[in-house]
Amino acid sequence: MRIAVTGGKGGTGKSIVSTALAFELSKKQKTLLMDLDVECPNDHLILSIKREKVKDIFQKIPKFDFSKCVKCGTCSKVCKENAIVFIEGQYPRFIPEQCTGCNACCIACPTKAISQTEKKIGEIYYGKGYGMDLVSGEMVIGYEEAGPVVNAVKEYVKKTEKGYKHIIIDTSAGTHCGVISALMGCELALCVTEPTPFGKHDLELILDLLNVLGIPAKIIINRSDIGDKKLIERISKKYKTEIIGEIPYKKSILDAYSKGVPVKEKEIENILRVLK
Amino acid sequence: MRVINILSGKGGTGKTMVSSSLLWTMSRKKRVVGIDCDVDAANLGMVLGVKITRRKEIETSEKAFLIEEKCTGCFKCVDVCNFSAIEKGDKKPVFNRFLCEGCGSCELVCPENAIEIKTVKNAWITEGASRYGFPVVSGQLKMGESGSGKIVTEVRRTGERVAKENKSEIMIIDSAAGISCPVIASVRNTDYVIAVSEPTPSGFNDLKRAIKLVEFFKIPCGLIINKFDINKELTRKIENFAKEKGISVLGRIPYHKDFVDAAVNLKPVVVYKKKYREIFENIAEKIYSWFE
Amino acid sequence: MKTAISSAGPGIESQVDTRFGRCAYFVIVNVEGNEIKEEKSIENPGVNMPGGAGISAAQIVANEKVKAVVSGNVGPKAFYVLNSLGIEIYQAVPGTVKENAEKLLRNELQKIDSGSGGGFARGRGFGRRF
Repeated sequence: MRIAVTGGKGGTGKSIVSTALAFELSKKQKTLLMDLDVECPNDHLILSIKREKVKDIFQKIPKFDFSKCVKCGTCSKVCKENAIVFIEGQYPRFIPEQCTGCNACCIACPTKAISQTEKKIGEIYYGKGYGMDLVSGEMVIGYEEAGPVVNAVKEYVKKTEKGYKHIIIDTSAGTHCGVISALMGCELALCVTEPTPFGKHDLELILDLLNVLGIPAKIIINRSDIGDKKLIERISKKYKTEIIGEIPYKKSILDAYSKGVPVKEKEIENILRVLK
Repeated sequence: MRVINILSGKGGTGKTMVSSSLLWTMSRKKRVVGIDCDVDAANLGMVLGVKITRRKEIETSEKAFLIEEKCTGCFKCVDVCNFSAIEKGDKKPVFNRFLCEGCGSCELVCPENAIEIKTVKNAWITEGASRYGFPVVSGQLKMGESGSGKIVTEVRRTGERVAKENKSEIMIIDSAAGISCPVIASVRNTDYVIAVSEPTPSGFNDLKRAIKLVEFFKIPCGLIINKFDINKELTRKIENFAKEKGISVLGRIPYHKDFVDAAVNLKPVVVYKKKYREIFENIAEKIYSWFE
Repeated sequence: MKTAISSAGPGIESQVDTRFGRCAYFVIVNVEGNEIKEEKSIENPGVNMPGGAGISAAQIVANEKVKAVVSGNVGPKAFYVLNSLGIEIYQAVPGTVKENAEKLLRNELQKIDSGSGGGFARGRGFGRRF
């Protein structure tokens, strides 16, 4: 089964829940943990798994053949990212950092003077530990779009399909394109929240998103004994989404987390039982 | 006016807690304005008790729309889309508005002029006054919409107008988590960055990535370590890292249930419990002297 | 020498705007011999661009065939573009466009050697627009 662990708000414990869940599942069945928080992947640190780079992720960028260029400036005009500078009478200047690979310039060039080459936008890492496989994606710093990097990792896993029984996907915080790309294709989304107004607010946003994407959701309340659980229970009723687990604040969890070992708690086992 | 940006890389380290407490602390001495650039999930206004006085829908995003009558089902658009936003439907292409970047390649390649790129209303910008007197501007992305970077830019523009009207001396921007386009848009063109970290392996790792982004933009930076006492050894390691990078340590905040209680009560922690005021006053003083 | 100066308003009596990419106007002046001739003011369309505003700004002033730019903060990408076009960049000082043009005439403005990232002028007391 393909399960996403998300939540909207940062720091609620998505990574702790994904790693602990993957750890439990991998005891009985072949499991992959996909860390799609490509801006700041952490799962390999939480589990102290050594990763190795397996692939660079590239994005297409234009290549200019100035022998064919008539200096019309059309490429600069169609570029919405300001990646092509055109000064009258001069060849266009390309700024790779701005390019998002849409290809509009190639298409628009009247003399077919623009072809395609690539620039690096991220890396894919692979590691094994605690009985599970881990694949994580990492975006190049300064690059803006998380979506294409997430999609490249998903493609890679699809191509190297190793017959996993379960795939757990750890998404980033928020509701932006990187999160949407990570959620797409999942059969279930576990929304990890905390019993505070912020947790509630961001939970609503992610539940709205999941509703539009058509992905069934369940709620997990982390640090359930600190704050006001009623805030989340109200959301659960409003969205008719079940709360399938509560993890109280425990120093043992914090200790495991700060030491880089998987969290083994009966609450996680309970959650698994409900999921089955 | 000086612009300060609060960021962290990792979510949940306490950016909003720091932004709200710093805003309250500084508002005792200076004219301040708060900007919430965490447009995926805007929280700052909640804890500052903002009464919204102005609300505006904005369109910063463009999307591709199919003009069905003109489409002949050649699917050239499907091949050309770099963002996997167009799929082959039964007879006509299906456009996924979540993945569409509005780049216009499909519009250019369509032989029948059957595709139109239109701007869409994708976010709200709100202005209001916090219960402590200073103005707060927030942006919230409409659910499922994209383009957070451009929205942040609009939020900042609105913020600058409000700051001018208010004669603000200091602007504090609460950024999103991560380091992709919404964070980049909030970090650009600011005077000072405050990185908020926590002493955990993820916190430290994400801090390093966030610092690389700050270095990329060449902006001076200070560090606040939140929950510092959950792992004092790692706190020390992080502070050493900061020293090597020329980043000054502005303050250390202890781990305590008070912070959660303050959040549940929707108050900045310095208003909820007076004993934390000193930490933030010291941080504020360090920032004022840096600006001199 | 034809020069572009980033400005908060149109005309040479306007205050200089610290940011190149997102300034309100570009005031184009001709600084020759002992004279400053005001040529035109261009409203900057890049004022609310999320990214690439500096590049767009560089393109605009380059199309005016300027040989120099006077501004506060020129980002790394804009800097690269201006540099590759052989356009010199000078550090603006607080004051009007006219005052900066006069200082340029008298060689009193400092040349900028690398693109900056933020708005912090490191102790030169360069305040914000307001």
